[in-house]
Amino acid sequence: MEKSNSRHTPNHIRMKNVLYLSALALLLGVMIIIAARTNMAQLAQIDNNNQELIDYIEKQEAESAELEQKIVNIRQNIENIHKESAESESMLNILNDSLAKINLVAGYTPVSGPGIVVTLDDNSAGAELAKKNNPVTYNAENFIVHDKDLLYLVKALTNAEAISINGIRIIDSSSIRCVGTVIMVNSTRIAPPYEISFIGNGDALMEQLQASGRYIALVYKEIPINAVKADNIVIPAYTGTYSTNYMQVYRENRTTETE
Amino acid sequence: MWLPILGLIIGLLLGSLLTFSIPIAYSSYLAIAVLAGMDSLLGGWRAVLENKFDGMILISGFFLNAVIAAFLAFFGDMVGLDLYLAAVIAFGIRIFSNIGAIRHGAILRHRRKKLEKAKQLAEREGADDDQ
Repeated sequence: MEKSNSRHTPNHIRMKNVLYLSALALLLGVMIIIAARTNMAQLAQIDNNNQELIDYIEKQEAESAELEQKIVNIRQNIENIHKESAESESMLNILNDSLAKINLVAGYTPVSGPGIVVTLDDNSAGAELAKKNNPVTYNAENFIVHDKDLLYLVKALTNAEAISINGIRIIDSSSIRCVGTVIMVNSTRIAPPYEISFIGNGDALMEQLQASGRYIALVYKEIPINAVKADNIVIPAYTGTYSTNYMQVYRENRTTETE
Repeated sequence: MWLPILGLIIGLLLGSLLTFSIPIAYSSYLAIAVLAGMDSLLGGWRAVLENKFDGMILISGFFLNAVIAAFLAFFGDMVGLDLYLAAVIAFGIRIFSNIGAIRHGAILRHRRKKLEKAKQLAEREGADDDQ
């Protein structure tokens, strides 16, 4: 017994060693359980995370369904707007028509129609004769067409819807004036013979022409003046601009609007 | 020899009674520490069987290995390297080798005991013969 025990540690020391081991084993047991529990908690958390992800996905799906519904609504709206715009196209047509009419009245469009054409020229022959017969009393101004002649003729024929002189459109702000020895219509100088085109009721125009004092005076002065009715007179568009430097659209007193 | 196993069982029960748990972020460090502890404990058992047990070496190894293994895992996480694998493999291999040594030791001890018993029996018989 003694001999065999010599290879072993003494019994009390062995007991101490076993106690060491036991204490550490106890500690290890606690650690194992804590580690296991923590791992379980982690797994549970992963489950929770999964649940959160599932919730998130479901939420996203609901959101995307909502957005899809929105898309459907928006497409519906677009369709409606298309329909409305189809309606507004007819509105646009109305506006275009009205614009065309305003342009027509304003002289921005070339026009054609029936009316009369009045031609007049300087009385060159009469002037030569007068110069030869009685040069003392000869006044060249009596034998030429003046700017005022054209102006008063144009003013006299109020039945005209469109007027042009030598292919220059006369509008409400047009000027016919004398610049030196030539007549200027709008911003263009013109030379005789003068051809004034009036679109309108030919008979009425002819009446107005023959009733106008200036026409009678011209005829009396033996200025070659000739008026003919025509079926298809073409009058070009006004090429200038309307100036709106000073005027503006008048608006009612604003106080009424704010009330 | 059954006392350590009893200790382990008591430890498990005690751990179950405690509601203590550590933050999830450190769970892998605790797991690696548990692995180190298992290795140390088995090493201690082996040392007991091989008669070269030293309590100080066991305890210092138990705690230091656990701490170092946990730190290795932590450091691995820091640098983005799975360094805990090194601890897992090292301790795993050592656990198996320790278990193997324990098995060897236990079997040898058992045989020796048998042999001693037979010897004693033979001696006693011899003595009887002498008488």
